[in-house]
Amino acid sequence: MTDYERDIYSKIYDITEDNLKDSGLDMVTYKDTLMASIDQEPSFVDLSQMKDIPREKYVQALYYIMFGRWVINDEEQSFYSDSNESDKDFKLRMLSKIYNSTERMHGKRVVANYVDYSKDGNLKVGKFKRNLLKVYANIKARIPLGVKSKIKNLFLGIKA
Amino acid sequence: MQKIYIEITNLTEVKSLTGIQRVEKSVALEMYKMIKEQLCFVVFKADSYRFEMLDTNLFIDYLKGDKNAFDKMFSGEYLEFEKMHPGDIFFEIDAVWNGRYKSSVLLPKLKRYGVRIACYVYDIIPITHPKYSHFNTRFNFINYIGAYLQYADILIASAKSTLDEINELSDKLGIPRVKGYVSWLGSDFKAEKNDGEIPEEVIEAAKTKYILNVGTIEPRKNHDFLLDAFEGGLADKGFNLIFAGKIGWNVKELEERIENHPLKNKSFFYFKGLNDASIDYLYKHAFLIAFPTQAEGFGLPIIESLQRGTPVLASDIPVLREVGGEYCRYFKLNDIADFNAVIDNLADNPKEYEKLCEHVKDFKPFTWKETAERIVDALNSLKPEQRKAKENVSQMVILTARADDIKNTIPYIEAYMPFIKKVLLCCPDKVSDEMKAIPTKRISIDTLTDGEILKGRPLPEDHGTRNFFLRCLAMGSDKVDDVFIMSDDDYRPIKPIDPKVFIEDGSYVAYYCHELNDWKGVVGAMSSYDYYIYRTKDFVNQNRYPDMQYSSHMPQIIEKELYQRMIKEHPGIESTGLDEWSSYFNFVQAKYPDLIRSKPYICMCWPGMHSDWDMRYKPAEYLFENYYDFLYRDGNIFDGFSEVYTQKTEEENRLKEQKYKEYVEEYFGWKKLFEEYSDAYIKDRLAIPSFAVIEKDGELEISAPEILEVKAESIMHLPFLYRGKKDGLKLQLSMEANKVRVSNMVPMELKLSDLKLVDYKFDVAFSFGPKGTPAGNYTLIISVDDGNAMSEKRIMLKLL
Repeated sequence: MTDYERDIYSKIYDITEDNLKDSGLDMVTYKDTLMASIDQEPSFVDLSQMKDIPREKYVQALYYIMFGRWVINDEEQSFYSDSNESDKDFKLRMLSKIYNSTERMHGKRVVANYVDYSKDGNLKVGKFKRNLLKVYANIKARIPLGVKSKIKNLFLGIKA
Repeated sequence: MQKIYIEITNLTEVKSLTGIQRVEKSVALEMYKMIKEQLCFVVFKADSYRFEMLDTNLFIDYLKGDKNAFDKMFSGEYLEFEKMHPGDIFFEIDAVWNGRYKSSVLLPKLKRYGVRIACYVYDIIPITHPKYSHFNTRFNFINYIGAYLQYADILIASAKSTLDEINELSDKLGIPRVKGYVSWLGSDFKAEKNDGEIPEEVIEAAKTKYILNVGTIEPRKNHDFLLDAFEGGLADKGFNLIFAGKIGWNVKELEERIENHPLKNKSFFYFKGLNDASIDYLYKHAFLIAFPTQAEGFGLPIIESLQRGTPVLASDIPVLREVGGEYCRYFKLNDIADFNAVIDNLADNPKEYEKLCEHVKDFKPFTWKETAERIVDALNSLKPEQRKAKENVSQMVILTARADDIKNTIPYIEAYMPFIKKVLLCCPDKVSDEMKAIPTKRISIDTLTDGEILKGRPLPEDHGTRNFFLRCLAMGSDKVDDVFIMSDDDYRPIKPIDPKVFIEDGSYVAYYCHELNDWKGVVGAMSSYDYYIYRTKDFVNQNRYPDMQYSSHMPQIIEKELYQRMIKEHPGIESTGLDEWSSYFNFVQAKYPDLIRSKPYICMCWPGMHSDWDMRYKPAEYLFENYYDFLYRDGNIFDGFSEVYTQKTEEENRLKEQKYKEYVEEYFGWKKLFEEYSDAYIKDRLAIPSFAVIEKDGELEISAPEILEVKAESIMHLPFLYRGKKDGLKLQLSMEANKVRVSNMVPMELKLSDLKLVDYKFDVAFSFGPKGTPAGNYTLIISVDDGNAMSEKRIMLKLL
């Protein structure tokens, strides 16, 4: 898609936003989400198109593009709770969370996963073990909160 | 026959067919009566990300009420874009904006295959009046309308005022208006009403003179205004007010106002979930229908009311003026005084009211048949122009500057292309005499010199630009036949060629080797050819032409008049350095889809070597050779064979063909293994094995699959993506076993000023070990260097 083509969507967003502002309302959805989504195939997600999305808009875009739905407001706020994290670490944490979620089992494939490694260079995101995740999904409600993420990582084959 | 693919996904996913689904149903039934052979209904299947085709007859049975047809109507056959016939129509009539296949991605794909695009637009309220749309609809609608404004060939609006708004939006965006048509919604729903009993409370409420509003309770419909008017005078004048419709979204306060209204069930009534008979009853007995809506796509309740002879008082907005015409009374939007004044006037003047009622009886509703007829008329405007191929071809026109090269090629043409009687050589003036003196057995040779072609215009320096420039200008020469075979001096026939290779059943056969939009070229060392392909890609994309790559390095047939038409329709094109084959064939296919029959190419030695570029199509047969001298030397594939025509040529051609066929098979075998590995990788990880270099905040990050599996000794074109702005980045791949380098690649320099042409996507050809490299585990090292910093990524490489 050319910049010219992309620009048309951007302009329509602006027109819509202006019309909405006349009514004293806000768009709720970000232009960054729109621009990161317009060139996404239905079957997979090109994560490299999200590289320029600022931290405060990243979660909305990630949810919309990966799951095809909007993040619930409370859920979104909880993701932004750790303000000491660097942008890169924040995005990595978010992506790992989404990438390894049971919701994605039925979701999209990923291409150009540019934040798929941890600081030591090892892969952060393990081989997607669909069957094991299904088992995890069935038992997760019974796992104590304190060890939940560790157990999940075991299922995913991710080293702590 | 031109097929019309109609997208109706939502129609098959909802239980009750109301709103847009009711429109789709009615239009589908009527179109079926008119053009059933052309129709193919398709639904998007989210589990396979493809469009499934429905059995047309069973789908129509389902629409007619045969519920058993539902399960059977899914044919199990899927729409493959590349197999759609150029000129076919994709017609969107569904409420598709919230669907998973975004129009911004789907429509450019369809255009690539020459498919024509039409869309029925109900309104653009999410853009013009966004406050009345849910944020999700608003967001997704931007994608939908943005795509159709850019890629649709025609738009059919349900009202002229909507079309005006669409055109206004195009003007605001600074893009050309899409050709527009208007086809009103039909409203002959007679067969579907009057069933069921009318509840007693409805009859009771209708006993007093009442104002009725029918429609979903939502802010856009302006129910608050009606309640204000009711409380501000109508109630005192003895009118009842009745709302009939379901509760919509974003109306919590209004809902409370309705529920807690002091006059509720006294003189104000709210009914939801009424059957058709009750709605019909209310329409028929109302004093008038109030339709104070703020924004509307069509305003169906107006029609439904007028059909029953009941007057309508509607807000004075363009679309309602258009739909209601002289049969309605109007009031200034949101003006209670004006609204009440009209009602007062009618209530106080019974004769005036009766006169209005009499007039309303003359109203003739638009029928679904008429709606469908107008849609079909609009779609017919997309019918391709018909044109037949000119049959008699006897001339070959060859661009050449080297007498030796063409001298060696002429004997092949004489031997294998008996229908070619004359060859016209386009050449520099200084070699014209030498060219004319080339000995021939039966073919006459003439020249068309640069001087004759250029007539004083300077010749561009760049090879690709020069060739296209000369070919375009040569079309103006009388020496060029109306229809001819265009060739280069190194394209050689290797078997007897029948004219049917070029003309088949009244169509010209055009041979493609790739797709322009997927051409990656050799990014580190881009050739003149790569540049002209990128430019041609831009040309076809900008003009919404198909995007097949026809520079198949073999002779192809050209009709002079059509080439001239392309030049005329694109002034200055001759200086833009395009691919002379792809620009022409895609242009002609866009204009006359039936005139061009596209087929995979039939030429060997294109590419000359596996490392040149990634072959997309495997030729089914080989009738031509793209002659490369280096292939006949240094142990290359044709070393030992004669480079010129001899008595042994026929036998040698058979052997050469066999060798090249095996060479190509070997490459496609490697590709097949890579595809199997990719499929398994995707299944295991829900991720596509891909390579990317991402620049972020000055750092270079490399993304690569965890493991790569390829055939030992193979050469693969690995797909890379670069996102960043650094120029002159150096990329290198190498392979090692036990820390010993096995294979190395010369670092390729990414020239971003060039890459702008290719969306930063490119292939890296890499040799996975020299001959004798054993299967086993290795490490693949990907490194990038921007002069200041270097990033490296190592992944496991399994050689099979």
